[in-house]
Amino acid sequence: MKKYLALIRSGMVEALVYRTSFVLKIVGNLIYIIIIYYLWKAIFQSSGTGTVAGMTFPQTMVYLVLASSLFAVMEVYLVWGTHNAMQSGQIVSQLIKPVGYRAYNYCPFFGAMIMDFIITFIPTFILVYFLSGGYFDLGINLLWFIISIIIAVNISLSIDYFVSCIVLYTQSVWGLNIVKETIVMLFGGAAIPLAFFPEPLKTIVSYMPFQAIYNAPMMQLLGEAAPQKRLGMLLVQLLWAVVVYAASELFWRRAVKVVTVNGG
Amino acid sequence: MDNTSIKRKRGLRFYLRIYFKIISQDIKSKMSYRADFITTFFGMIALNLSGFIAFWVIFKNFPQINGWDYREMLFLYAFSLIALVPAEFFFDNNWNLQQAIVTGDFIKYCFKPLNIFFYYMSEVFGIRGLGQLVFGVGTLIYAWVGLALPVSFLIIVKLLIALFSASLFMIALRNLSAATCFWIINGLHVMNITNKFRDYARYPITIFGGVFRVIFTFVIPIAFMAYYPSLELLDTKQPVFLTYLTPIYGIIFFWLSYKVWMKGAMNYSGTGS
Amino acid sequence: MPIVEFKNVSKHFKVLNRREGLVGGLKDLFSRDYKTVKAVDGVSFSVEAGEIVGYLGPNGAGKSTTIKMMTGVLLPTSGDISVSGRVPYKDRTKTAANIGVVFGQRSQLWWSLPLIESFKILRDIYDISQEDYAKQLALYESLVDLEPLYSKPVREMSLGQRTLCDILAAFLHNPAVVFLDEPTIGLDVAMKAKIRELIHTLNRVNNTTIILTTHDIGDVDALCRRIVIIDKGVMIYDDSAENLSKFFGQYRTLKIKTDDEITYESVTITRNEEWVEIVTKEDEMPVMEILQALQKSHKISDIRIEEITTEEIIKKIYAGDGR
Repeated sequence: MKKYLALIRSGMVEALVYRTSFVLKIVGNLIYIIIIYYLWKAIFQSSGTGTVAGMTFPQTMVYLVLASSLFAVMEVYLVWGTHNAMQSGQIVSQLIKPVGYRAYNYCPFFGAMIMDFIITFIPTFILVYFLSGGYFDLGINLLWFIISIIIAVNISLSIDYFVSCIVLYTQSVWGLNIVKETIVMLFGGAAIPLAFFPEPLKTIVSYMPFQAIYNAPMMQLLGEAAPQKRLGMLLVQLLWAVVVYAASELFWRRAVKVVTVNGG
Repeated sequence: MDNTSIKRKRGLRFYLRIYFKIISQDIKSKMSYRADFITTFFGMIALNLSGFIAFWVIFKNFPQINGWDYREMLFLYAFSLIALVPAEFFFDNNWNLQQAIVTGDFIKYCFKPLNIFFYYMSEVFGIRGLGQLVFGVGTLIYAWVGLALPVSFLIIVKLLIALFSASLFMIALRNLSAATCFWIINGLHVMNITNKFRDYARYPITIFGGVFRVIFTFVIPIAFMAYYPSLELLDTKQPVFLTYLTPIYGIIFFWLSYKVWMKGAMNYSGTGS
Repeated sequence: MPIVEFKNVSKHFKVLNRREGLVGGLKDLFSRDYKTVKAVDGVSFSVEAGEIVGYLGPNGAGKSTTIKMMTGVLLPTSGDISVSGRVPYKDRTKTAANIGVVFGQRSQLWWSLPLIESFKILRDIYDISQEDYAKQLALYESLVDLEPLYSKPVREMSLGQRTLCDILAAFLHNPAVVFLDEPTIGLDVAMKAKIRELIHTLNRVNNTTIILTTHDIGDVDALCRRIVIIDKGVMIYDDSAENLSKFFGQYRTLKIKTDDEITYESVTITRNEEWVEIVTKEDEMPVMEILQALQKSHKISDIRIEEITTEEIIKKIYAGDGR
C-alpha cells in the first residue's frame, strides 16, 4: 500500500511543479466557458422555446461546463506514454517494477487528477454554481456525484489501457488515440449532452460504456431521481467499470507478450 | 571545390525545390509504415465523422442559429475544414516543437544554411490534413449545391482567395501557440487550447456579444477563419468591411506569427545548452 | 590567415532570479531580479587551417556557448569573431554554408529518410556540384563500407552507424571548419577507434579544420595536437597536448603498498584496494622526499612511481587545483 501512496504522491507533486499548466488550464477553461455560453445562448434563443429535448439553457450550460472540466481532469497521456516507453525501450524497466505496469502508471495519474480536481474542477464548480444562480442542489446528490466520478475515472483509465494494448501491436499512436478521444468525448456526452441525441442513436449510446464516464456523473449531479434509480445508475456504471477493467487486463496479458517476446 | 560561399542567391525557387524534395521523401517514408498509415486513416475518419455527428445532433434539435440555417452552417463548417488543411499539411511540425525543445534537439535546426523556420517546418508533412480536405471539399460541394449558389470563374477565384486568407489565420494561430514553447515549459497546453477554439470558427461570430466579439475577431481571430470570408460567397449574406480586410489582415497576422516564432527560436538557442 | 579567430570574446547572460512559490512567481511577473552570468569571459584564440583542436572543459564551462557563437547562432556580448573570413552572427546562413556540425547525441540527418536521401537533400541545401558530390561519395566509400547503409533510414541505425553517418554528412559539402561535439559519446571501444580514424583521415584529405569538444581523453590523445581548455568562461590553457604536463607541473603518482593508514601534509591521497596513491607535484614536493618520510613511520611492502596521464591532469584542472 505504501508504495502505491508514494506513487500517487509523486503524481501530485509533479502536477504542482508545472504550475504554468494549471494557469493555462484555468484560462483555457474560462475562454471555453465563454464560447459555449454564447454559442448555446444563441442556439436556445434561435429555437424560440425555453426547453429543448427536456433541457433548459442553464441546465445545458452547467452540464457542458462541468463535463468539459471533468474531461480536462480525466485526460491522461497513457496511450502516448506507452508508445514512448515502447519506442525508447523504457517499457522493459517499467515492467520489472515491483508494482505492475498498470499500478505504476495509474497511481501518478490518480495523484495528478486529485490535484487537477482541486485546482481546476472545484473552482469551476463553485463558479458555475454561483453564475447559474444556484441552479443545482448541493445536498446528497454531491455524494452520488463523487462516487460516480471515481467509478468514471476507472472506466476512462481502463479504456486508455485497452487502447495502449493496441498500440503495442501497431506501434503507432496518433490515429488510435484520436479515435478513442473522439468516441469518448462524443458518446460519453462531454461535447453535447446525450439528451439531445436523436433516436435511435440515443438508445444505442446508452448501451455503450462511454456514457458512464461523463453523462452518468452529470446526471447524478443535475438529475432529480429517487435513490433507487440513482443506485441503479451507479450499478450500471460499476458493471461497466468491471467489464472494461477485465477486458483491458486480459488484453494486456496477451499484448505484453509483444514486448517480452520481441524484446521491446 | 568552391569552398567559400553559396554561389546562387537563395530565392523562393531554391527553397521550393528543397521543400518538395524533403516533403516527398517524408510522404514516401510515411507510406512505408503501414500500420501507422492505416490507423492515421481511421483517426482522420473518426475525427471528421464525430465533428459531423455533433453538428448533425445540434441541428436535429435546433433548425437555425442566429439566422443561419442548416445548409449555411454546413457551408461555414466545410469552409473552416478546408481552411485548416494548409496548416495541417505544411505546419504540422509545430506539434513536435515542445518535444524538440525539451530534448534539446531543436539546436540542430540552427546550423544549416537555411532559414530556421523553413527548415523546421519542412521536415514534416502532416498527412492528417487529407481527411479534412476530403471531408471539407465534399461537404462544401454538398452545401453549395443545396444552397443553389452559382458557379463561375470569378466565384471560384473568390473562393480560393477566401480560403487562402482564412488558412493564413489557421497557420498563424498555430505558429503563435507553438511559439510559446520557446518561453514556457507547457506550450503544448496552449496549442491544445487554441486548437479547441479553432473548432468554434464554424459558427457565426454574431453569436458573441460585446467585448468577446472584439477578442474573437482581433486577438484570437477565429472570426476570420470562416465567418467573414464566407459572407462574400453566400448569396443570402451581406459582406461587411472586415470581409475585404481578411486577406490583408491574414498576411499581417501570418507575418507576425513568423516573427514571434523566429524571435522565440533565437531566444531559445541563446539560453539553452 | 587563421580560419577561426576569437578576439577577447565575452558572452554574458542575464538570468532571472526566480523567487520561490506561487507568491514569488507572481512577484516575478511584475518586478524582475536579474543576475549576470559570464558564460564566456574574454576568450582569445585562433585556429589555423587544417588544425585539429581539442576544446575541453568541465560541464557548464562555456564550451557550447563558444560553439554557438562560432556558428552564428549566438551574438557575443563583446569581442570579435571571424570564421573563414566572415563574422558569423552577421550572416549566419552564409557562415553555416562553410561549416559542418556534429552532435554526438543527436542526429542531424532526417530521421525517417534513408541515408542516401538525406545526402541528396544536403547536396541541394549546400549547393554542391554534381562532380564534387560524386567525388566526396567516392572518397567515403573508399573509407567505410557505406553501401549497406545507403537505403537504411536513420532511425533504424545503431548509434555507431548514426554517428558515422552524421560525421560523413557534416563533411559532405567540404566545409572549411567542422565542429564535433562529443563525437564518440556512448560508443564501444572498436567503434570509437573507427570514428577517430575517420575523423583523422577526413581532416587530412581536404585539410579541414576540426574543433572537437569531448570528455573522452582517448579522443584527445588520438586526434589533437593542440588543446584549448576553458573553465568558468575563462580560457586557462592553449598549447600543445605534450606541453600540458609541463605547464601544469611535473605531477607524479607514488603508489605504495601498505596496511597502515597514511596521512601526509598537502598532497592528495587515495586508497585503491591495497595500493595507496599519492599524487604530488615534483618541483614542490619530490616523490623521494615523501617516500623517505613515510618509510620511517610505516611498513611498506612495495612501491611504484608513475608519470601522470593527460586524463589525470585534466581531472585535476577541472577539480580546480591545477593552477
